[in-house]
Amino acid sequence: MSDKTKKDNQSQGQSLHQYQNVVQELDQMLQQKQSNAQESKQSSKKYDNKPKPQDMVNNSATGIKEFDELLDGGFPKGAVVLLAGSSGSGKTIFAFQWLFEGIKNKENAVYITLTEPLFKIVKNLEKMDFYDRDAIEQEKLKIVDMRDSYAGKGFNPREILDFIEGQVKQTNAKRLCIDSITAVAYHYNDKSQIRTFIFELGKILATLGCTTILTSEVADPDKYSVYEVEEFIADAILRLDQIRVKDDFQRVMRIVKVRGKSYRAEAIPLKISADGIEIFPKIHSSLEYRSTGERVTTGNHVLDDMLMGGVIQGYTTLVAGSTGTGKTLLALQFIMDGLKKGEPCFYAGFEESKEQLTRNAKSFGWNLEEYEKKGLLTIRSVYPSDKLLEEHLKDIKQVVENNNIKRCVIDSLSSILHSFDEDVFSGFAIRLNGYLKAHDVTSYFTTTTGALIGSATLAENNLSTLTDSIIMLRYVEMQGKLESVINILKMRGSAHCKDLRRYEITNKGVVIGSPLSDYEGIMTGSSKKIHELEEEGEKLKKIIKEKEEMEGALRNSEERFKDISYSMADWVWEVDKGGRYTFSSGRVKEILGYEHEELIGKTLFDFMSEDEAKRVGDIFKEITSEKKPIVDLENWHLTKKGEKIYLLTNGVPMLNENGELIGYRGVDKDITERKKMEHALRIKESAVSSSINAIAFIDLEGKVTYVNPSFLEMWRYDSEKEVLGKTAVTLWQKKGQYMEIMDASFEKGGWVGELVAERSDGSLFDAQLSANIVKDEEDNPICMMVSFVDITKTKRLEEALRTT
Amino acid sequence: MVEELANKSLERVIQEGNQGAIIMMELPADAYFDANSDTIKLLTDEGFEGIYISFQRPFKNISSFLGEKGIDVDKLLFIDAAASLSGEQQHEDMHCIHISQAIDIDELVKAIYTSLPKLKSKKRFVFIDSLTTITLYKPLSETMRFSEFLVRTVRKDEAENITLIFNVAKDLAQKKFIRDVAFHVDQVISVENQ
Repeated sequence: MSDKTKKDNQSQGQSLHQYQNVVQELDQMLQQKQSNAQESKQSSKKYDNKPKPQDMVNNSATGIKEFDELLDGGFPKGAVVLLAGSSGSGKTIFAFQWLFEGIKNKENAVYITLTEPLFKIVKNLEKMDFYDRDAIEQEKLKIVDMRDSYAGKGFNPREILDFIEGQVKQTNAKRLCIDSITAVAYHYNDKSQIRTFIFELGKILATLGCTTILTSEVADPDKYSVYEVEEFIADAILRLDQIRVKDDFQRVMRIVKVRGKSYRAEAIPLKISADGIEIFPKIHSSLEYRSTGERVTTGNHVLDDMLMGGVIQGYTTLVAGSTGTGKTLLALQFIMDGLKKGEPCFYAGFEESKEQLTRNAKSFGWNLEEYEKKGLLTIRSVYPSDKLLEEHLKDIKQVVENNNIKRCVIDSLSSILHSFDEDVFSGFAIRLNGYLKAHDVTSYFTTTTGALIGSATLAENNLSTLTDSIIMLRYVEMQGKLESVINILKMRGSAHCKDLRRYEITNKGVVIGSPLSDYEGIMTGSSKKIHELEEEGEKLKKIIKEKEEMEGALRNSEERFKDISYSMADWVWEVDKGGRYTFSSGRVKEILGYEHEELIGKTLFDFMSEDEAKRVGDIFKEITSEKKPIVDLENWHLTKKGEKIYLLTNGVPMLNENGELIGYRGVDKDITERKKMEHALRIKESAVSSSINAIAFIDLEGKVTYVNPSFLEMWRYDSEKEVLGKTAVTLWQKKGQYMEIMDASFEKGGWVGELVAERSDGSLFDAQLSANIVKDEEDNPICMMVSFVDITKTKRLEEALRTT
Repeated sequence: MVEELANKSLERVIQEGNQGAIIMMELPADAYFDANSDTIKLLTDEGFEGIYISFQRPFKNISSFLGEKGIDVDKLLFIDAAASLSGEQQHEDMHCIHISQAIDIDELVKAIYTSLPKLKSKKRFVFIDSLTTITLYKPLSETMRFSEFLVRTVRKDEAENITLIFNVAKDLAQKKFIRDVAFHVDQVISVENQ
């Protein structure tokens, strides 16, 4: 084999070796990434309520109590922790709190910064309670500004690593913080250089046995590092963020990964104050409560009886009622009962100040301050919005555990609900309930219901299903007064009294009376005595019966009216006081050609000519002004086709209960034919009246019933009064002859002939007479019509001719 | 002798041309005042002009003391942070800037900043008597802020070297911090009693 070939082979071998190294590194990176992904997907282990003792030997405590509890003592010693978060999320504070905690545990520390001047960092620390000036001045906690050491010299990775190693060794540090790894790596342009630096850093840190926090400036909440390499050397990853909650921002922490430890992956609320960082992990309780079944008295013996001896120990009781019903008072009675028995009690108030509470309690003879001084009573008053929900829960937990509380009052849950989102509150209520039960604390939760009177709603937020017992307080109307009523709505695992009882708030507290067994409707808010209800029921039945009878009579009356009116009239109508049709029934279609609906809203005048409308309008105005009935008003309308028809209108005014005119109701009859007949009759009458022949009508008794003017002239009467009613026979000279003619007329239906007539003055004249019998439709004689012509002159002439 | 030890070290520093250096002098309590005056004398005799920042003794007191030691006080500008501390009357003088009672770091910084250009000589110094007093009266962050300013001032422009000298009590617990972290001292002169 030639030298060249050997050389080539050698260099190839080296390349291959290098290549294999790179592949190995890549493999490691991939495995690390998979491992990180698996660990972050892990569901959290059920949190054991009991805090485990901190293992100081194997753990690096942070000094943040709940955090160290979550991780069973803190970070694993020697771990590299990547602390990621955006600017201002609290990374530096967290790191320093951990560093100073180390000083307390005699672990020296180094803090290396590239981001801020040292004096600024120290200035921020001086506000914190954990700050220890001596520790810094004595370099137990050495703070180093790397920019001072390397400014202008370039950031040689090897030198940086040596520097870091040197600082740790010089100080004999057990804790190290590099703030931030992002800023250090930023000085390297080459990504492979960054990777190399970070891997080497990881190795050095591992060899140093120093627990290290590397802060990582990442704004994206789903990322933990800028270069995506830092995570691979980290044994633990924490993420600090600020999230928007309604109009506020809330800090949260997430434990993304901690090798070798179980942890909870939830977003844990976080607060930064002069005390440092505080976190508020959710307090979880299991459903495993022990229950002795023993009874705990409430301080009110009647209520105890209703509860068959009191509430069950460790139970939670919801005291629900609208405002002013005495919920707090009942709760204080419960607390006082416990205090008198020497039981440590806790009142957590969210609505009124401690001073107000103690003052109010004093008015009932209860000296809460005395028990506070003895250390038996703890009162905590704070507005719900002043703290996070988990903070409240933590405070309650601390009081309960530090004071071995036996009785607890939470006053009120509704005020807490109003300050937080409903779903957040629900979780809180469940955890609070579970925690108190798990610690065998007998508790009252007060809540304000919405309705002042009547059925109260407890459906919201599942409070009714959460607690073991429910005591309801409500207002009820009774005999014209507002009374208070109490009842036990529910009691798990025990019978309870179902009575509704009246109660009073007296200077001795809540005093409960006897059951309201003779009342009904209490739950509706308006109650009545039962016998009163029965009486009312009978009255009601009677009223209903009378009403039915009246309605029946009215119906009959209406039917009769309809029958009569429809038989008399062609058209029944109603108009308002303006004359607008509001009702129409009958034959209007046949009469006017309009449908009923076409009339509604129109006035009667809309169906008349202008002149007729004016005429009738004037009459209508006069009638309505005096609320007079309409009697036989003849008026003519125009049909839809424009034809004239005559109507006879009759109507009565409609009045309201105040006697005011609201319209007219009436009937119309079509008299068009009658009018036509009248018209014809008038014509005939005119013909008779104006005839030059004398005409008379004689009734069947022979009496004159009509004479025309010619007759009066012929017989020389001044007026028809002189002759009407006279028997016709008096009009003739020969009475007997006239009678024969009359008989003959009736027999034959008429007669024509001559008679000598006798005037009113007794003078005689010759008259030619034509008599006709007038008969009706059934051919019965009605009267006789006689017409006369004075033939005296003619007769004399004839006689004169005969003589000559 | 105390003075000789101190001066010898300082002399060496000056002769070696370490201008623009930051020098910390650790002084025992009983050699304090003489060591100060001898240091100033050495510097002024070598042609230095400087700023004397006094936290210990008021201007009138220190200037007359230095004058008695044969030091040309016209080569000095004084920043008096002591008079207000002790409640003494502040004497107005064109060679002195008075600092308010609170030892306000901002006032100090401004006083130094405005005084430096007034020094005519190319060889300048700033002398702090003493840093111990600041650490007693001020929070650590203020001491560090002051040191940050001084270090930047001394090191920013190497063409016009300014030597910073300050003294600390020999038994000051935080002197290591001051030396390494706060001031990044170039030279420590430890004066021993003999």
